[in-house]
Amino acid sequence: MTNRIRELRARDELTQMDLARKVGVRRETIVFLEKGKYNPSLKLAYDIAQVFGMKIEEVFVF
Amino acid sequence: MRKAIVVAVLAVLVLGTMLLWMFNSESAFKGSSSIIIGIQVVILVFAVLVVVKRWTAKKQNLPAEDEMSKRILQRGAATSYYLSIYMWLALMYFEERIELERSTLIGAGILGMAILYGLSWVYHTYIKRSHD
Repeated sequence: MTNRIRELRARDELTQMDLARKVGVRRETIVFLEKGKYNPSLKLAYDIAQVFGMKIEEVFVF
Repeated sequence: MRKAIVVAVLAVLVLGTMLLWMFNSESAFKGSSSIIIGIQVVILVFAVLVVVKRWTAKKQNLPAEDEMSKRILQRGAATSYYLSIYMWLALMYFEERIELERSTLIGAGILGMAILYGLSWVYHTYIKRSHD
């Protein structure tokens, strides 16, 4: 599974810390998500998609 | 945050007990005792690192634990449990060949389990390439 978190974060001018605070996880989790080394729970994937105003399948590519 | 305080209090208690034992015991700095002290210091340093990490997360307004860190803890526990079975087998093997008091053996086993857990946590946090 890949994702567009880094690209969308750059678009919205969010730092990893900003995104981490918005979705309630540690910055390291965002780092590992962006590197594709961690697959999030459905809730976290939904929260991240909500931050970017998109659907889950538009952020995470299966 | 409460967990961090509990860990800090436990670390201080262990450190205090160690210092008391070292200053009241003549054999504290001899032979295997110094190895045990070294291991206890490593465990204390690990506890301090955990407290500092949680404290930093609190200051940055981030959760002390999230879903990934919980998964790392679970994986670390599972790995260390698996490895500790072999460690106990090895200890049982050496017990028959080296004259060791049973209390020393059990103490070494418990310390070994703690070290294995710490190493497993480090492996899953910094070395393993995937947390899935």
